[in-house]
Amino acid sequence: MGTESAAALSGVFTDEDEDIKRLSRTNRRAAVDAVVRRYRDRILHHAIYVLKDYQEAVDVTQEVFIKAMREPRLFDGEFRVKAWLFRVTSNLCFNIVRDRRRRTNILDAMPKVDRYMPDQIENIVGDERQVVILGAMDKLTGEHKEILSLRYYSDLSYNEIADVLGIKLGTVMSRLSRAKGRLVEVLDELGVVLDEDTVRKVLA
Amino acid sequence: MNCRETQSLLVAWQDGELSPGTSARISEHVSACPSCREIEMRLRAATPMAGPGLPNDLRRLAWDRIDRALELARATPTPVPPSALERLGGHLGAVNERVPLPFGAVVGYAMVLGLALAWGASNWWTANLLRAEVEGRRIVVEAPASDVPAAQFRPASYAPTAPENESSAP
Repeated sequence: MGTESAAALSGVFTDEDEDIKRLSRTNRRAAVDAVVRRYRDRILHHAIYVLKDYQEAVDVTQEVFIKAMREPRLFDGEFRVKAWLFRVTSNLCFNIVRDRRRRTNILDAMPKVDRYMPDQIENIVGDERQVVILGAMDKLTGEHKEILSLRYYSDLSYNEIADVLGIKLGTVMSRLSRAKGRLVEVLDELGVVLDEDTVRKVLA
Repeated sequence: MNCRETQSLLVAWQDGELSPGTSARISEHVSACPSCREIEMRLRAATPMAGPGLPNDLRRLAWDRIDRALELARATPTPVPPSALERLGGHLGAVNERVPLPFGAVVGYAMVLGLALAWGASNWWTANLLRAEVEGRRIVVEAPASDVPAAQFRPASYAPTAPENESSAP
């Protein structure tokens, strides 16, 4: 992805937490509470999409906000609160996912416990088709899964994703393009029909 | 804009992340090119979409847990980050967990003992070298002969005499 492509991007970063930063000058505790209220649902959902486990997602969300409370730079002028929260959440979630993979061999020998609550996941993602897409995302690399989750489930702009992942805007665009291309391939392999009628139904 | 350029920007175009000019050129190409339209449609059909989210009871349950955890954290002093030595200790502990205890312990003690012996031997060897240098050898100072007065090298008993060839002259 060249400079020209990156230059075609139109996003401009704005600090949407300016009001909370102003509040922090007089009352830090109230400002921390305001950060929690503003982002708790989005952070919790992001953790659920990555972990597919409500209990673990709540644990991660708690830890993220405790880290935020103890972060001395949280209300500094240039500090990007939202990007920082999503970055910490992603790191904690992927540590858990990595630990799960390490334990896979041991757990395979034990009786299975359904921790992923399929009914609740269906509630969160919407319809059956989206459940299939979420399942297909599990077959992608961690990098692709992470960027798709940040863009489509957490609804971050390309600028915000660049901030969260610490990469350039052009890299966000090329990585998302590759990730989505790979997702189409996986859905093809799973036999999911991606035709014009389906698109009309999805968009209806 | 050709097909290759268009396809590399299709996802950003669908996400509304392109400038109006680039966006218009892609729209124009997609509407005129059947193969790019097919790819665009497949990408659109594969777009993950967030649903309505957690049911309210689970959200409230999560909020309560987060609030309680924050209250508890506020009442607890901020933990001091571990020192370098403690981090090293933790790392060795983690290594020990992965290696069977007797073997790990033996390897650990052998490493510490080996390092101590190597350090001692190195000190002893250096000290011996220095002693040999001071006791057994002359320290040579290199300096141009012109910088040192000739009298400095003569013994105190030395009495200058006229050169032999000069005295034997007629």
